[in-house]
Amino acid sequence: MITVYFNSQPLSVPADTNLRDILALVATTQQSHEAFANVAAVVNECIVPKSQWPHYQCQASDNIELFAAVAGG
Amino acid sequence: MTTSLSETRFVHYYRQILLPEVGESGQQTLLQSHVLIVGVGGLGTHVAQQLAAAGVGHLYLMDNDKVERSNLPRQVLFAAPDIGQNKVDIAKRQIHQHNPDVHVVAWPWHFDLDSVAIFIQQQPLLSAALHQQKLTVLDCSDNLTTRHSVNLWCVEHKLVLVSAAVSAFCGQLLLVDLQNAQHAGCYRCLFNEHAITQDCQSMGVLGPTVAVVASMQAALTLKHILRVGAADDHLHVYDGYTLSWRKLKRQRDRHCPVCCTPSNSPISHQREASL
Repeated sequence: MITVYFNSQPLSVPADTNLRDILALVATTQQSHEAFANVAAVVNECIVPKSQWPHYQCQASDNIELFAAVAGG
Repeated sequence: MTTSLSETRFVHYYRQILLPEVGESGQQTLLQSHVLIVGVGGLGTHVAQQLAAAGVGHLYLMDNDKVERSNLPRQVLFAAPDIGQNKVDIAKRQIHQHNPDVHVVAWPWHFDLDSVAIFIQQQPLLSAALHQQKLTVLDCSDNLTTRHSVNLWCVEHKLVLVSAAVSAFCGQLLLVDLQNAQHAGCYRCLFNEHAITQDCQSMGVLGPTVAVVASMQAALTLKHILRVGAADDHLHVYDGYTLSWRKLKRQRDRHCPVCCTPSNSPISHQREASL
């Protein structure tokens, strides 16, 4: 197991967990499943494009955050 | 070839010209530059005012909204007597009063791929700037649909896009430049069409938060036009609670349906550059 940080909260996950797995793990309701499908994911200050989520292998101490789009002008 | 500035213009822009990164030739570059601003609301009024003051020579303003009373706390070019009038017409008048050097075209239409095509058709200077890829586009719109349309149009025409957004206490800013920062991708690489959004109408916003984000958008635009530093490849995120900015490194989505189509592939760009 490794510890990553999701929105600053520690989260223990298996060592071979990818970014999509993490988001599936923290999305506990259908609503959050849908919400997480439509945000930008940031790992250690770098944005990971959605198509790369299944290919990003999480590392111990990764800081993972989600950003919603801001649309106002 | 550039000619020297008139004495009046030299004095007018002296404090900018003093900067080695600007100088007289940089000021000439600004005076000859073309910027299309999509959305003349909170961000658009601030950014238009700042770019005009800096001497950006050609501003094209696109927005179909009319001035409303609720706009006045943050849309600095408008006053109570302007309520009910086209935003772009008032903005044009105000900018011209402040700096007659600037050629302003007001187009009271909503941005979509059809309306911008008509606009281009009717404006020979804008059309020339577009085809020479000397047009910079600023997205100051207030909804995700327009943001994706502006991004698509810019990618198709290989134009640089400076996109800013603000809502509540949060701001976001990015520069899309597929010629010089291809690795950073486009707006669609970041958020898809179904993204969860925050907007000013439902969340509210403070005028100074808008002004901070707009000033950064104007600064990023001037840096791009003057070629100061490398092309920016970050998403800049402003937190109005802590009054701080974060820089998040962007990367192109290899499966992006907008900027990774065959006509926008890295190979096709390289081929065009070598011709």
